[in-house]
Amino acid sequence: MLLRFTGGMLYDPTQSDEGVKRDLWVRDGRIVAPNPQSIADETIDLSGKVVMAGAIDLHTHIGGGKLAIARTLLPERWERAAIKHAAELRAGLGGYAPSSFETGYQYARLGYTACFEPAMLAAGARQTHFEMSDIPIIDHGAYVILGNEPALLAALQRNASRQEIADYVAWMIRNTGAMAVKVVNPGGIDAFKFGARTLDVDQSHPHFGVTPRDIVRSLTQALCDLQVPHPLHVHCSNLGIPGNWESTLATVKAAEGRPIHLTHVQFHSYGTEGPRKFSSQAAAIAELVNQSTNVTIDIGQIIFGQTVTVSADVMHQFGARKHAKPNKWVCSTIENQAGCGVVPFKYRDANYVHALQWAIGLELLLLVKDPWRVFLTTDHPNGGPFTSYPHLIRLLMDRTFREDQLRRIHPEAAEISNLKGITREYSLKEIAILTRAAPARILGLSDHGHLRPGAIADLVVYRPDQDRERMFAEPSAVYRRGVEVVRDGAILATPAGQLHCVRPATESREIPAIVRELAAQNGVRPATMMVSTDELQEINSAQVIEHPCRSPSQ
Amino acid sequence: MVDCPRAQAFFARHTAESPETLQQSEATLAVRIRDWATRIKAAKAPAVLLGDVDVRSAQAAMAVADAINARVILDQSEQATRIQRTLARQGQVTCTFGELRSRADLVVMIGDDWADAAPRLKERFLPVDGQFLSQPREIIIVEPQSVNDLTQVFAAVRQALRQSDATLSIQTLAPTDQAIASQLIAACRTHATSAWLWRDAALGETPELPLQELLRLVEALNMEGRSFSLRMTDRPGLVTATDVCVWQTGLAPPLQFTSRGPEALEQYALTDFDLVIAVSPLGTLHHIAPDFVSSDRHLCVVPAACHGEYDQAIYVAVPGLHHPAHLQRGDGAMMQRIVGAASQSLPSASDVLTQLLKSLGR
Repeated sequence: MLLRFTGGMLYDPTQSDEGVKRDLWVRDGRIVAPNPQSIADETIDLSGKVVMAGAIDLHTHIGGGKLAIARTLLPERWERAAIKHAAELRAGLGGYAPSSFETGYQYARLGYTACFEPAMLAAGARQTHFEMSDIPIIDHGAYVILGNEPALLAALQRNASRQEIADYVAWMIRNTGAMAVKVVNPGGIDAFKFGARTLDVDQSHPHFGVTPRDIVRSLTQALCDLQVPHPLHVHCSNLGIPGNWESTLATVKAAEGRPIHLTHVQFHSYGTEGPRKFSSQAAAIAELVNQSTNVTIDIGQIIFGQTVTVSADVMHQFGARKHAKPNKWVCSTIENQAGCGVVPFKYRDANYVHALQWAIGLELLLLVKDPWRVFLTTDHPNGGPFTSYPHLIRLLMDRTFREDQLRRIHPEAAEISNLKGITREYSLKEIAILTRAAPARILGLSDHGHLRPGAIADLVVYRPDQDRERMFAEPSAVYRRGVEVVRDGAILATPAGQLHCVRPATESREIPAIVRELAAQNGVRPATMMVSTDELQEINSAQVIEHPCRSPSQ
Repeated sequence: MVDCPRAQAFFARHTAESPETLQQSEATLAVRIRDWATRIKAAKAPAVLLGDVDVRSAQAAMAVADAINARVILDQSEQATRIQRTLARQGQVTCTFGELRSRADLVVMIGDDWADAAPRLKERFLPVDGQFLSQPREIIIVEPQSVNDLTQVFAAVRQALRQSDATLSIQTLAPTDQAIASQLIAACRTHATSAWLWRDAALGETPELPLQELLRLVEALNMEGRSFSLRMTDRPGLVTATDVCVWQTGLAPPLQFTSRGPEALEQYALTDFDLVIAVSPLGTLHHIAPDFVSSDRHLCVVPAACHGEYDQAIYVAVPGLHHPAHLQRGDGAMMQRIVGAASQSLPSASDVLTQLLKSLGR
């Protein structure tokens, strides 16, 4: 079936289209080149509407055991957020930790068509994939967490060869169905199990002697060797600690010029200036990004209100337990792999620290000059729910609104922040880069995030509105693979999303020694940890997309 | 074909069918499903009783429950002992390995075969070369497989700590259990700070563990001024029906939890429902259903595989087939006979439920 979408104002940064009126032709779920001889089976009139590719969230916690713990820890949420089932829609829970089906519905209503879980434990890969397969409409994928396994740390301690590390990383990516690799508080999670409460970039692990710098260096090297599209996704050392901006700078240096992605960098941009010994170093971090073409960042913007924080960084979460609201929390170490901390949290605009965190995230978004290397995230649900994205977009596009909001936060935070002096307003084109084209490029999704022939026909249609929050909160229509799935907020169809993963190749077909050691430590066979391609296909009723490994520059 | 009296009684009382009829042709199954659909449409208060099934069956069961607005009652059994979520519901928190290392002078490891199953963990606590240890400690390993009744052992320890003569509390224990109880009592009296590590192994490897009794014991110890902590560790990678229900519902109603056993199910008033769709391994149905579903109520039984054991590559539903280790449990002999008779011809529970969903017009 040939579809013609006509009259829309297209925003496709990959073609420098900025409100260009051009017809889009779609056949079999993909955009095709226009042909003068073609006769459309159906024409969809989008006159007066803004059209963008489907949005992509490259860092959102939508699957895995940590969310199950969070949901179980906070059963009282259902009293406010329970959603009854409707025709063709499943019941569930909304709010800051929505259930699987509701996650898909809410993302689709906002125009998002692909989302990536950034913290999949190898041990939890099967559960993560099962859970993500229950999220309808949106494509999905996950990053496997490495960098705190005793087997890997021991290998680094004995100076294992570069090839050995690469083989291990490749095996873990392949056999967990991952899209990328994330490292959380490199070495710090394991150090916590030995009684350490901090571990800075050049501090030695109390038992293995290796440093976070060693871990970041090795993993960035391995991913380069394997040509995995997405760079090492790094949750830096010392999250949330005043003065941690220096750890962030040191982490970038540890990559030695290789590609590196710093995640929820807002939480890693803190200084110690001022009477409260807590200040913004967003300008320094933004300058680092501006100067370093190998660095990309996502923000982890906070939103005022109740949420729940979930993280493998048990070292941080253990410290944050004192701030739990409501006052209950779960901290757990996951033997031989990582940890998990779940701490409910409420960000308040009248709180100096929270208010400054809010300002720091916006400073970063506005001070990084290249929108291709910065990504809009709330680290859902850690900084706040993803449903706040339209609000954030308005903060970026509407200086007057932003300054009005700035006046409402803690006055000392507003005063010490650089935000008040920043005049930049994002354009629609920049928003399209930030939320579509750039995440597609950094993930290696060549047919996502743009509107050129060959792209998948994930289209979002907006009504132009000076109130950008309203505009982005209520797309008039969302098409997935050319099929309308949302119209004026109503879900029309719930197709299964596709799983995206990469399969880096290695020369050896042997199970790497580090994998064997890890399995032995867990008391299982290596095969136990594998989620095979067949199983991934079975878990995901829709297609599993394996992306080729190639360097980001390609 | 089935010579287990309990299983025969179950099927005779509640389904008027024998296990043999469950393995008849697909046409017969289709007829049964249509009949179920008719009953379900007429039901005013349906419930889905969901046992330890594989993920696909759990997903299908939840879809059926959603379609008919049924209450979902999870019969969790082993899952109830799973790590943090259980403790969270109990208002408990777990300690960390770092804390254990620096504080605990007594470590009680519960769970079979720590050396094989978690050598790294054990290494941290056993004084092999002392490098991980900040202080001397006593280690007690409790292997449930070798204990006759762990619930009674914990209860006896709790009782003994409140009286001067420990022999009074342990004299009713089986002779084999008295030794471990004595060891625990002596250690708890000697040490002020302890950690209790519980290895929640994969289904079938460990007998059901009395979490509630352990919680009571630990609370009692803490009330007496000691510092006792709980830590649980499980085999990574196990995905349970509970997980499915939690991520699909977010823990909102209609989901309810229970744990296996008459008392637990009774408190959820299963008899309030006029129709129950039981999706559960055969071996659990005989245990739970007969006592709670009166004969004048409808019961649709969808036998399902348990969630399985990866090492044996039994993961996705294999109709009626249970992991051999599961058969070592108390009801194993009966299950083995049923499974042996039926496993090859049963459709999977997820297939049955998917067909049922279609018959309901969904």
